[in-house]
Amino acid sequence: MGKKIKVKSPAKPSKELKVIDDNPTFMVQNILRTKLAQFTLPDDLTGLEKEKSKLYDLINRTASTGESNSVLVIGPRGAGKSSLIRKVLSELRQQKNFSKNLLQVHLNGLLQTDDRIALKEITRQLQLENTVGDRVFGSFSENLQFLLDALKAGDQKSKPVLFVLDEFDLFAHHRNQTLLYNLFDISQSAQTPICVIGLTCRLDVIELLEKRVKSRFSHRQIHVFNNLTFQDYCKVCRNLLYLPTDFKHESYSQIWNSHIDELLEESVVQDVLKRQYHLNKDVRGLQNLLIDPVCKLSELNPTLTTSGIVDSFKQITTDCKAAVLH
Amino acid sequence: MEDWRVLEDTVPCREKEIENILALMGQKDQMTPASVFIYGHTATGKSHVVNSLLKISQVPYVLVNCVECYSSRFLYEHILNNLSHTNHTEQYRCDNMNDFIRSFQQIIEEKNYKDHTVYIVLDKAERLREMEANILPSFLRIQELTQCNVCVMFISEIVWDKFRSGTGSCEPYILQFPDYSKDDLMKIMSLDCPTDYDVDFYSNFTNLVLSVFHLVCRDLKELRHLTMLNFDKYIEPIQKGEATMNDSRKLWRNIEPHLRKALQTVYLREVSSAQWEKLQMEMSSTESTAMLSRSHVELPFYSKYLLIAAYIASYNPVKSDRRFFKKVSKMTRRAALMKKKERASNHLLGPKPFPLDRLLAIFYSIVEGRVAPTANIFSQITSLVSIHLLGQTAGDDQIEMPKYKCLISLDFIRSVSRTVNFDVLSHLYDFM
Repeated sequence: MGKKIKVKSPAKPSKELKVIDDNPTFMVQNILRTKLAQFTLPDDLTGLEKEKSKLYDLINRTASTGESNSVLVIGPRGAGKSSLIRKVLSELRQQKNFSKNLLQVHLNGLLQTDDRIALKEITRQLQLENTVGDRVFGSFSENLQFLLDALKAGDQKSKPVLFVLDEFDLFAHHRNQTLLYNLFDISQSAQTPICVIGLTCRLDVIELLEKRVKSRFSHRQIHVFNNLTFQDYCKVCRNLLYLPTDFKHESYSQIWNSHIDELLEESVVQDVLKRQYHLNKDVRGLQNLLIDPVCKLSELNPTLTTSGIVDSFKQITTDCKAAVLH
Repeated sequence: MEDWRVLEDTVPCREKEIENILALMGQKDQMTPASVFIYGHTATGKSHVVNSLLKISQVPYVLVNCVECYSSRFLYEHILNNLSHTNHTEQYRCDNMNDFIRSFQQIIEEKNYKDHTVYIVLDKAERLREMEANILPSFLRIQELTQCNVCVMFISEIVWDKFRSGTGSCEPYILQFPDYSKDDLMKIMSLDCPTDYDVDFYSNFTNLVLSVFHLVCRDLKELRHLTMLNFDKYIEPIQKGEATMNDSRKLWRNIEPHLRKALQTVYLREVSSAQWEKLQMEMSSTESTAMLSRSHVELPFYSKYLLIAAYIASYNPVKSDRRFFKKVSKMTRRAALMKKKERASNHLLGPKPFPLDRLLAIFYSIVEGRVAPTANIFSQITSLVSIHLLGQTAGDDQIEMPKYKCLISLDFIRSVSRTVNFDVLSHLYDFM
């Protein structure tokens, strides 16, 4: 398998639990584990450039010109909808004064199971708890209107607000769909510029909306389908396993990266990746496959090996029911 | 790691699984996969391994049993309270997932757990499927929702395929705990050895028990129970002085019939363990008959029919006799049956007394062929009374029309009627 990896520090027995900051294997494991974690954003999203530019445009227009928009981002699980939004927002944040100009509210259908809870969460995220105080509102729309009015700057122009609704289809199951109705209503009337972005995995989410809600929705849909080719898939795998360029031990990272390249060229590993690709094109499946080899990196085992990846694949694809019946 | 070798004594035969879980956990401040799903049969050591590992690793963790925390509120409050180690005055109040995530983030901030992985272990995770629909998907994504270093471990006996529902959610990392092999079972059961006996001697005994039961039962809990139950019987000859520890043949011959009998009722617990032990003691002292619940009583042919007739007479109301035993079935207007629920079950009320001629009428109608009313039949009735299968009511002095009542249970009469190929249930009013 090519070049020998030089371990910088003397070989300490793996029994010790103490943190050794300078040990490269240890740092490598740290970095790779973080890359495979659930909330880490990937560096680049392959195959989603068009969708990214569309969303970028939309949000930009709301922030700069005060135009109200609504859009639904639809795609299967693991296709990259949430990552797309986060990537677009992180790029926009590099603009001057962006965070001051555009307020953001992130809601999730799994967490806010009720419109009442959703309203409290909106109040909290817009940091208007003190303004609301102990007021009692007659209806949902009154409350929401009050919140948006409170955001008006001194010269009667209100700040644009971005609403991102994750698990949008769960919001459609609330009673009377009040939250959705009010949000889309405000986006159609000329009061406050808001941008409503809904993320969902159901293709038929439009059917779930009531007539009055559907008519206020702009019917703009962005489909995010996972259409990675096998080459793209291998590229994603390589990116997951590469060490970043600012790694402390430069030569070590170069050796490591070239080792990863060689590993991924091997026919056995290509075979495993192809089989995983045919099972599931998701990046999440790939992360699951790589967890086992990465976690087993240690002093005695400082590199990823073919057998490690093959074993991990075998473990993932065992049929649960057959295993239980032995 | 030196620590985990300590576990070898308390958690034997699980090295590979311990290694896997420790690799996943990594160092305290490393990111762990967001959700891990551990499954395996009962008594394979899943909860035991996970709990022991978390205890010795000194990481912040919460153990939750989903049978105990059956509602979402109990679940959230249990996790928050245990994570923040509050005393009783400052308990958390939380009944929705939104507040839970917020409070969870707050606790991690306060307690400075930001750099450590926090573990939440959900035992009996199959109960989560019956709770609110947003609980399971949220726990699978908890790293994403809280943006903290959390790991949720689901422990269950059911495979992951049965947990998928709705539109799906993140898949956890799946670990299987296989069953113990025969050698592993022997090793673990020999840890149970009572202190005043030799370990080798006890392992020989467990070997014997395993050889009898291994084909039928591999559940560690059941095997340990059986071993402990039968050990006293095994060492009885030693205690009585008839054999020594080395006379394995003699001890085997003593215990073998009991083990074979226990084989019939493994898992069933037809009698409680205390009763079983008592019966074993009695059996060795007297050479008496087997347990009553499974006895067959040998009766002459006509006595069986008399017994069945007596049971029917006791438990059927008089008016229904016509319906059951009329030889000629006319299309008469049938009296409307009361709804089954409203009829008081005669079986609940107990046997009713019946006169002799009713017994004989029923007897003649159920017996096949002609039976002459000889003194033999009548003396059989008296013998049934003397062995307490029938009871005589209304005193000895009534010679004209003696009244009897049937004293046996439904199971007994069913087994008797099975021996003569007679379907007694179709002749009982309560089963119509």
